[in-house]
Amino acid sequence: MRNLWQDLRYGIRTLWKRPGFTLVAVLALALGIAANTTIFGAINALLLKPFAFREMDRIVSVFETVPQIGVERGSVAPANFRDIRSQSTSFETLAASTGWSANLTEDDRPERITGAAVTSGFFELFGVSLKLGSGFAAEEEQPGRAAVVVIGEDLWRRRFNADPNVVGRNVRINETNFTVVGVAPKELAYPRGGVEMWRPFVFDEEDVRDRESHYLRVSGRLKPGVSAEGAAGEMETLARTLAGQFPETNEGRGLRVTGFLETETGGPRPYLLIALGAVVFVLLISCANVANLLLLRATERSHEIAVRTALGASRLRIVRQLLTESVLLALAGGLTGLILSVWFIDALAAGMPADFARLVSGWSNLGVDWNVFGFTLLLSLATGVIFGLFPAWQASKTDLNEALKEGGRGVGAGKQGRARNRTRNLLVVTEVALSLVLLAGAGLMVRSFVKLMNVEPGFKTENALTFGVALPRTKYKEAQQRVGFQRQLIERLAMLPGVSGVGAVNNLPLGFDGSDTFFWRDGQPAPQRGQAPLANVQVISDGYFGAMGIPLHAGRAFDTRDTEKGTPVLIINRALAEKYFKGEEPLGRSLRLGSGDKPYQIVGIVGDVRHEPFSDNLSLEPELAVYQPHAQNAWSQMMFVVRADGTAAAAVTPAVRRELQALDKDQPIFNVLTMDQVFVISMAPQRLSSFMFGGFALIALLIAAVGIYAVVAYTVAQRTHEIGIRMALGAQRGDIMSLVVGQGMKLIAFGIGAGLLASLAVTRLMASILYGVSSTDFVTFAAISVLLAGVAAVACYVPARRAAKVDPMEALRYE
Amino acid sequence: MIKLNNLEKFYESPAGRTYVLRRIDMDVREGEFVSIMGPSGSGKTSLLNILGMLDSGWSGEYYFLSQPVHQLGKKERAELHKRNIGFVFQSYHLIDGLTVKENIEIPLSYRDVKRAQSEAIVSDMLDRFQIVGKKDLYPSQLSGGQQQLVAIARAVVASPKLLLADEPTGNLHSSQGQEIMELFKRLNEEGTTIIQVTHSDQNAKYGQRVISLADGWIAN
Repeated sequence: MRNLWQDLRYGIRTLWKRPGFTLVAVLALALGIAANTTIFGAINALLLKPFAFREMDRIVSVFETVPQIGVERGSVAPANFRDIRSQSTSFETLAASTGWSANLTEDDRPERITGAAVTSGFFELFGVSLKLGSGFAAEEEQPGRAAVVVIGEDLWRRRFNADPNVVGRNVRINETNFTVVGVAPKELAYPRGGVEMWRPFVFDEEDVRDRESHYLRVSGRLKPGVSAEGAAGEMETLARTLAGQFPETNEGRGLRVTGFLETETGGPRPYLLIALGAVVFVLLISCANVANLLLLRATERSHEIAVRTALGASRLRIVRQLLTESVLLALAGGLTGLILSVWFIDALAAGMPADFARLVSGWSNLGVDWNVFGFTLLLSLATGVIFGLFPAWQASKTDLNEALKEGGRGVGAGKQGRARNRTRNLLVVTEVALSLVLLAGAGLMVRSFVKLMNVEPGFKTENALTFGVALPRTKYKEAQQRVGFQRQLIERLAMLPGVSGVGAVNNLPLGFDGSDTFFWRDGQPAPQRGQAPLANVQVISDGYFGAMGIPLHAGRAFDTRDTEKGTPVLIINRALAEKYFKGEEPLGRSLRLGSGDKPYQIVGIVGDVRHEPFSDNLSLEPELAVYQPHAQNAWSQMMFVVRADGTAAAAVTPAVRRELQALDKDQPIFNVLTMDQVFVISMAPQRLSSFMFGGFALIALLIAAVGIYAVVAYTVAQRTHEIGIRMALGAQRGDIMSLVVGQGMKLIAFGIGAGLLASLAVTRLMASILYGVSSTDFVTFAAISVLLAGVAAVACYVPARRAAKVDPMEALRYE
Repeated sequence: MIKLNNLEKFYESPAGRTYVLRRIDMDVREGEFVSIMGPSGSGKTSLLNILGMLDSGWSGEYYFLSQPVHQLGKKERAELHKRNIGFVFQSYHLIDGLTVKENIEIPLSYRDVKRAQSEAIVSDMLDRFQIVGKKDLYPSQLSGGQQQLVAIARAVVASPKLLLADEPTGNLHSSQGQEIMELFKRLNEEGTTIIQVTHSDQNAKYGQRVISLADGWIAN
């Protein structure tokens, strides 16, 4: 113990006496540790504990699958869910949920609230106790029961002033009276982030038989002792039974069980794991850097170590002393890193648009907690041992005779000196290679992001305001009412000053909702169930294409001719026309959709539009799309687009609210965003990743540059004498500069070569998150090699200049 | 070959000027072998460094091969030095990390000699100094005498007109020292002008004349 204390004291004193060395080492480590702590913080919040549910390992997700068309995680049809619930024996509780957003009109302040319709057992399944009241009983699933709702904690505080007597109170939701039966805690943000109210899912007569509409998200809590594999086996058997009983709907459909956490964290996982890889590289570069600095120090201290050995210190004792110093350095680096990581995590949190972040489970948990603190502490200790052990071991091998003989000159020329030089060179090569891999990754991410930013989505994003209006069916029962309301609103908005176009669509392009349907050409035999191609279906108002700037290539847009009772019509996009009407005229022909009950005549062809957000799918293939007139498919929830040429789109918002209030004071608008914002949100993960990668790569570059500088500068100092001789023998400044830079650059070239080879292997792992850039893109690799070589050349140039100023007389007198 | 007029070197200090060399007038003709002698601190090495153009902090006139060194810029001096002067040091100053052959090659590498030609010259030099067998050894693997032999080979490899030697036998025992001096004599006979700094009367006798320094002044 006394020895340890002595080592600690001596270690602190040694580091204190060398402030320059200590500062550089601590900063390099701090940056490496901070990068790792930040990403671990994100992994902790988003992957490890995005939900505060009880016994998470017993919760699973249940999906329907259609292997033939590659559906592996499909939603479940209501009748199938009821059969699974009643016939399975693996689950303690099984519950389903589906999205249900509605207008809350409490206190004359209409607000669109994100909610969910959930079956009984939902709250029990997750093991989260409600703050007030209770969940839903099984009877609540029966039609005709009084409407009840559980509200979320945030909503309770925001709209009900945290009223402790809220349970039992009546609230107006979608023009219907609901009774509040409970308040759920913040932690229960499920089935999606931002959910603030839950109502019972009511199985009406149709739902009880419905095996065709797949929209339920099903989760189950396994009985104690039942494994996920066991439940999966049972589900496979059940799927076969259902397929036998209901071949028309269930033939070719399977059931799949996956871990709940694995299912729910699938979105951010690839990004975070790749980011984790990146920060491990940053840390390795830091470690290589500090190990190198320690090796230089060990060379300087070889005399001291030799004296200690001569005085009786064992090798282990020497190693322990040196290791104590490196662990002290690492702890100082860790502490600084932890402070830095608080900023980094804030920057990370701020880097994601709020409208995207609220959908990501666990995003609000981002921060430094005890887990993160513990991680940093362990990482620091491990780092200290990793980078300290090798130099300590090398230093402890000091040849007494040689070191004492060479005295103050340090072990530069002898066998040991040469071995240390080789190790140092190897570390520099490693540092450069690791930096190159990281830069290559960052380069690819940035290039991919730039490509995304330049993607033509098929419509004009500038100067367009978008917002949603959802008409409750209770008030707007008839299709005519809904169509009439939308028409009136569009007319009023079109009259606003500065507005040049208004339209509406049920699902906004690049938004997070969308619906696909099967289609086939009328007159051809209906393809087998599940075999037909899928197209994105959009329901649009008149004027939508104009407002969005989507070009009409042939035929006509929808207009007043397209009424509820008129011929069912469609407009298709160019990709669909080219793929399914090759060499034929699509106009005038018909398609059948979904169940194929009636033909839809094609009246127009429009340009291809990107509908899926980039965060969901990075495919470059244009999507197939069909458009239906709102008059013939009167959706109640529509997203409006107001093109405001010549004025800031967002400035139109107050006027929009006024016009809507004038039509119906109870209707709120929601998701108010400019189209530019929608565009940015649709690529939020890519944006954040490229910033993050870029940041990490810059840190790596900085650390590597410091590492290269330190080694070259040290080598110059060590070679002052040699440089003096060379100058006495006729070398000029230029010769000395090129000697020093050349030797440094030789190492850099090796590092770049090794790094390029490693990059070719490593960047392949990123292929799934890149858009329009190959994971082995030549331009990126060439550019980052040049960048790294440039930075390295500067790092060599500075000490080389100093070398060229060596006074030969001084250098030789040194002898 | 060399003409010094009123050459002086001094340091300024709070206590006043300290002269290292004072009013040095000196002539050295081509083909001469001159020894500079004097007690420690008399300015011998300083004079040698000035003659070798390693030092530029002095005043007076210095003509080398009729060129006024005192009027030349740094680059021109370096060029003049590179083309005409070879150096031998008391402590050899071989570069530890290079082999014997590589050490000898250094001056040629700074003189734009083509690779093939350089190889030929070095081979010739190894042969002439009878150190072919040692060409791949590192300095630390040689005795002091052998190291100085390599240092001299290195000094003359670029065929300098003037060879400056600073106590070349100072670190060697007498028989090794004698061998080196014989070598210098031979080189001088072959036409190289030599100026050596020495403490040894014995070694001074190999030269044709002695310049004695005392407290920075020429004493004879």
